[in-house]
Amino acid sequence: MTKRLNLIILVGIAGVFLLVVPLFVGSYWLHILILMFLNMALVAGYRLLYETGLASFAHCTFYAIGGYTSALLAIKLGLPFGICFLAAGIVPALGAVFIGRLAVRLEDIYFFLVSFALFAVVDVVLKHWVSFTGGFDGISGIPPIMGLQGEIPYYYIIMTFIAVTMFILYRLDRSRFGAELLAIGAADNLAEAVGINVVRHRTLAFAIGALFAGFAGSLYAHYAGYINPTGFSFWLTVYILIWCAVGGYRKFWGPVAAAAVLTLVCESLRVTGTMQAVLYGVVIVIVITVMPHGIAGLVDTLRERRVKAPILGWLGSFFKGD
Amino acid sequence: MIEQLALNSFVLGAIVALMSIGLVLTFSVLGVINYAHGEMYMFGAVIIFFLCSRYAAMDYALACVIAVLAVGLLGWILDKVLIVRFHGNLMAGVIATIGLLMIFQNMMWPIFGPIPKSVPSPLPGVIQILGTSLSIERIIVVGIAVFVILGMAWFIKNTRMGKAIRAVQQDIEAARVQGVNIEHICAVTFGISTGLAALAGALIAPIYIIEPAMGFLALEFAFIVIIFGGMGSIMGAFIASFIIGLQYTFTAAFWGVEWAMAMSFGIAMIVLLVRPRGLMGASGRVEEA
Amino acid sequence: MLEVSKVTKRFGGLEALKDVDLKVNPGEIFGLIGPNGAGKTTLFDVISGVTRPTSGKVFFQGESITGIKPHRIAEKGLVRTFQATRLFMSLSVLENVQIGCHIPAKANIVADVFRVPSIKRRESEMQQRAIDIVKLAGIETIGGQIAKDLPHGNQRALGVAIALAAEPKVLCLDEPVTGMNIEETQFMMDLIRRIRGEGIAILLVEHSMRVVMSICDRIAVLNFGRKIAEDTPDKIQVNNDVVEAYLGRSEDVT
Repeated sequence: MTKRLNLIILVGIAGVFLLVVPLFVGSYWLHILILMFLNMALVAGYRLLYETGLASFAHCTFYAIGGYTSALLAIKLGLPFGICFLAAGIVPALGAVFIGRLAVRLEDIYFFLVSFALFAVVDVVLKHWVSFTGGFDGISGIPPIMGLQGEIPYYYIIMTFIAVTMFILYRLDRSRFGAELLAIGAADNLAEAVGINVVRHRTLAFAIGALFAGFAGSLYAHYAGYINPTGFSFWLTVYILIWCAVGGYRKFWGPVAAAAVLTLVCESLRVTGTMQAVLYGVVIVIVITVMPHGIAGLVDTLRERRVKAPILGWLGSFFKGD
Repeated sequence: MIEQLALNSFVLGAIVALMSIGLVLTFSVLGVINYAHGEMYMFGAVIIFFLCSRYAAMDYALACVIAVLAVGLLGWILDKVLIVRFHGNLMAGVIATIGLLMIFQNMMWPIFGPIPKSVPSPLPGVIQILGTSLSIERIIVVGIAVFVILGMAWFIKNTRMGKAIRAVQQDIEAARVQGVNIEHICAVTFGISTGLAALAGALIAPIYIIEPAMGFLALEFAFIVIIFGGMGSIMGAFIASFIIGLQYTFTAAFWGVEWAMAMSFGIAMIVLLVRPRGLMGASGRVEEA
Repeated sequence: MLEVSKVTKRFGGLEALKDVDLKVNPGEIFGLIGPNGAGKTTLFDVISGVTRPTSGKVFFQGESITGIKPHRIAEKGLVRTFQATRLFMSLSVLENVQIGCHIPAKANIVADVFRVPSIKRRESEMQQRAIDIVKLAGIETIGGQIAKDLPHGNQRALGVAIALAAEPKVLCLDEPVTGMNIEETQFMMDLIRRIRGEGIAILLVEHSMRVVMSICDRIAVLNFGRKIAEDTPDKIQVNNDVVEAYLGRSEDVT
């Protein structure tokens, strides 16, 4: 099957490229690639719940909880990185199960609002419970992983983490569970009528997303050496939503690709100045106007209008059937 | 002391009510959550600043009217030009309005400058009631807000356009079949909603400071209220606004602003988990995925 | 097999169902008819667990299923279709039916991720099962098409196929032929008979009198939420109460 072959070739090239990149590129770009990897993991985890029809505003909160958990365990209790890492995933996952079991029964808009409330509460705690979380200054002096310094080792560690995460989440997507998640998003009452426990599936999706977000948070914390609330802000969740919407949530690689591309583009444009923020806003509005249903939707529309553009077709083949 | 806190609660409640009613309308009629709603509020305040301070010394009441009409018109245009593509598409609408949020807020920084500004109060002075001094201005703000809200309620109940709006809220297909021009109603509703937000901003301008980022806080309050009161219910938003106003003001006075906010969100979250429809919510218009 | 006992359902002030009793026996096709608004879909919702009855009970194979969540009821063997065409619109026909195979698939998430050989085997069994069901439903020629592109009649057939995939012992069909032309209706009627031939009992809600009278073994009639008659088709046709109920409303009796 040529589509499969295409995919393997593309992944192979990208893989080799990513492996040797540190030889050619300075630490600034490695830092950007690290952020890109983390964002890819975040969005892949987010997609699990999103494809069932529930948009959550709390994903960055799980990322933050993971980072802070790992940092606090390392600093206050002196635990080794491995344990901090695991705890960083488990704590938000448990939180997700706890709240999720009730919250996922809500209609999509109410779930969105509850998750927003969760985000806001944790945000306030992180910013103001100074004795515990360090407030706006956050926590610094987080011990590095196994004493490693510099961008390069972290680049490989995080790349490995992402590779494993992508593998697991991709396999999950291709499994019956993954297919059922998509089905729930398409028609949740029909899914229930054929015996799928929608609440349980959604809670599980929420928790798995939180798990990987927590892991990513831990890696970020130990890589950067410090964390503060602004790194896990409102805007990061917004970006995750944008990546899902632009990339098209129906296919696994859509949001991941969007995350990768947009992270690279934005970081290289250095979106800090207010004029750039305005520009980013304009880009968002244009993009969502052109494809209100993501790239997959755009490919559909183009197909319907029989637009023939070979490049688009080749690219699109990764986002459509396989 | 308590009386002043109570008055402040009512002011907060009134402003938040104006904001949240607009959001409820937008959601129940257009099926969109307007993340740029806070920016409309900010525009209202900024217009007052430009009209009533150094640049021109316009009569405050007139300036309010101009602010409301201008921002209302802006809302109407925005819907006709942009938002109409996202009616019923919740995610795309959220993303598009977040884009607008980024544009509007950030373009104000160079125009407005980083220093928060203030506007002198048009009604300085206090009156003595039951032994405490209460600011006249704040009493009037509450009065105006309540008057406008009641006027809105009357409008929706009794005028032809108001009935059309209700029809779209309840069953859009039925409304369409009965000949209601859906796009027109949506644009008007959006304009009303942004106008209300601008009124909130205009009213708060002399009382509080004005700055480009002021919309965030207002939007947060509006969200809390909507979670609490129910996403589809104007009455719910109205009642919830005053409850939250009281809760926030008193908590802030005793424990500080941040904990007051956390508590507000916490309450909203618990209410939502226990009673998903909020106090008296109803569903809005959202498309089937 | 399926027994509804004195089910009453009130929505606020409105009494949608009042003291409804009925029984579906194994291997029979049982029809449920009544004028618009008589409460047929509400009864379906109660039976399939979508709503709780205000009072009364529902029994399935002797066991009470009142108030149990819909997916558990499906696991026990009672599966329903939906009136407004509910399908997994963005998926293909075969994919739709494969999702329907959830119950027989007995999937385990962790093993799934790592594609353990037993999982692989079961999934190919399910694929084959989906193909068989699609053949039974007569839609095998369009197996690869996306559900939302299908014509209405095929969509209905797909809805039935998805329900079949869930290994029902009792199949509840909600208006399966609504909006279909003569050919499609005949096709669906044959399909329903074939399903009965597989040993599955069927509870059928329908407006089309022609269909109901010709394939049902027994029929119950609802009006204003109450059961006003339950009998074989020929006796129902001459039942005065039934005729009056229908003439009393401007109802399409085709």
